[in-house]
Amino acid sequence: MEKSILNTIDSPLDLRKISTEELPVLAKELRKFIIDIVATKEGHLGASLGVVELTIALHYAFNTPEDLLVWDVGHQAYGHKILTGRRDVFHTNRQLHGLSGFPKRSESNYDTFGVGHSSTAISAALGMAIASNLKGEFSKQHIAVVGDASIASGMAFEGLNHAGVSKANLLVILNDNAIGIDPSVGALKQYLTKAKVGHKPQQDNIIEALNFNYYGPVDGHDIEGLLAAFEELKKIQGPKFLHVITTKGKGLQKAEEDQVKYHAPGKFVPDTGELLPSSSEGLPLKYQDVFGLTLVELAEKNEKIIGITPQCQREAP
Amino acid sequence: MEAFPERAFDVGIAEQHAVTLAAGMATQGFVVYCAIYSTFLQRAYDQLIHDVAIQNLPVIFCLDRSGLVGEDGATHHGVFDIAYLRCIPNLIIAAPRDEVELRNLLYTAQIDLKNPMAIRYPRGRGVRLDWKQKFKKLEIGKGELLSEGTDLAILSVGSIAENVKLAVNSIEEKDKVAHYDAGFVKPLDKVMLHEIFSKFKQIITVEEGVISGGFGNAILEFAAKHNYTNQIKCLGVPDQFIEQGSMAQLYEIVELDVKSIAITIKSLLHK
Repeated sequence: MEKSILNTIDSPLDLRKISTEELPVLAKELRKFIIDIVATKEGHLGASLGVVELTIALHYAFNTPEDLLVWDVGHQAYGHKILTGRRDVFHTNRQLHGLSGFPKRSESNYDTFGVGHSSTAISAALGMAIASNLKGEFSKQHIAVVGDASIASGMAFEGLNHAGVSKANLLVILNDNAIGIDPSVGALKQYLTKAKVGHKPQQDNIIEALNFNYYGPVDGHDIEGLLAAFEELKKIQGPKFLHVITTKGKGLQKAEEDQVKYHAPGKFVPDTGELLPSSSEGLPLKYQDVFGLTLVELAEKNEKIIGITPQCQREAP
Repeated sequence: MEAFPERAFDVGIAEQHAVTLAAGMATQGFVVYCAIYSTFLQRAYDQLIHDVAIQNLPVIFCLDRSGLVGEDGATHHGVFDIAYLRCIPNLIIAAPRDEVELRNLLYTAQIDLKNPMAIRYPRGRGVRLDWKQKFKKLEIGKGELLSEGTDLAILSVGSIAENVKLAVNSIEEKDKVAHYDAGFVKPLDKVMLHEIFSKFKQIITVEEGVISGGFGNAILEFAAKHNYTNQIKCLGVPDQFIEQGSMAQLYEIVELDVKSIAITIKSLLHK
């Protein structure tokens, strides 16, 4: 077998033994590992590729699973699963009796909270952090990794609003790739768009207004930079916020270029990202397409018709 | 979204907002189709009851990915909607058996709808290539006899009708089995139900959703209310969370695959 760092890592304990210089090499291996498996087994791709460095840095810098890490939604947690003892069974991802496509408490101690639907991570991690305070565990870290689409939902705001008046040792990491399953929308997205690595927009920062210590934006693909940020943040008690800018699909050119399609691309050629043709010729349409086409047909004749969707059905034509 | 940018709204991951926004628009006379996956409408339950149903606003909820969804697993199966919607007054719940019915429901919904309405349809492909038929207005709450039979009636709701049809056709005694499509979970087609309960000793209900509180339970309630003592068997998703797997595997697990349905039919016929 090819010499590989990834193959020596059966848990974050192994990860913490390797030198920081080796981490970018590991990132490369981890990315390839994800690509190779998702290429043949299918699943969610872009989100996990975007957080490879962030995942490594988090498990390297924090004492997981004692420190509690919550992934929002969970599409992006493949790297987390692979580094936390599930590398050899990762090929069963999303299959019957195999690994779940999302973090799941019954699957691993490292999966601190079951997810699948969006925007729950801040509330869950805040709950854990307040519980830790009640137990007198004041040095424990609680980390919620939230995407920019998820953080714009009501529940995320509710969590931030509560955290801001708590003494909870909560770190909210905004994984800002400007896209959910579809490109993010709304006024908060417009604000985030102005943020660049090293440049925080001057506009009033609503996160700071909610009593969070705001760090960043930092480059989410620079492991060293991430580690430095984490060390700073560890010293600060109370709610803090790290704005990380990443590229969904990072490392696979086609996935970077077409982030919507490569959210969950189906089978593809691992080296090039070329999608394998899936023949739908002669098959009936999907119900969602019949819905979309029919609604357009009706809307052409009835100008009172309005369509509303919370992100999930944009793919319908 | 692209065809009518001014009348199409992607509100982000914000189901509660989507539902109440739709309600607001409906108060101003617009015909609002609010498209949400079944599993995500769970997140806007109070909005559905408080902002839409109590005010009886005719918002049309299009619940894509109703039923089992396969590899996304327990967090994403849309199996609870019939049960959680059925108890809400004013709400019409429709489940088309195929694409043509879906189209006709969407068409019917924009003609003078008086109540909120949910239309649930599954993830994945339909069953017909000739889906683009001329629109036909449907009667709300009307079921349909799909195939005649003599001894046993199967009453299905939604696209699982296809598996039922294949199951019936796969058994030797298919002439003994009648297949009805309920079309609607609410209101129920009472005329059709009285006909079924008077004509058949044995009834099987089939739905791609939880049995507890689901469509089959509605039929049990109907039977109890009218003192029918027919034997009723309810097929659907049992009282447990179904994990991930291929659709074929999951159908087998919940016994909604063609073979399992056929076995259920035969076991009842030979009782």
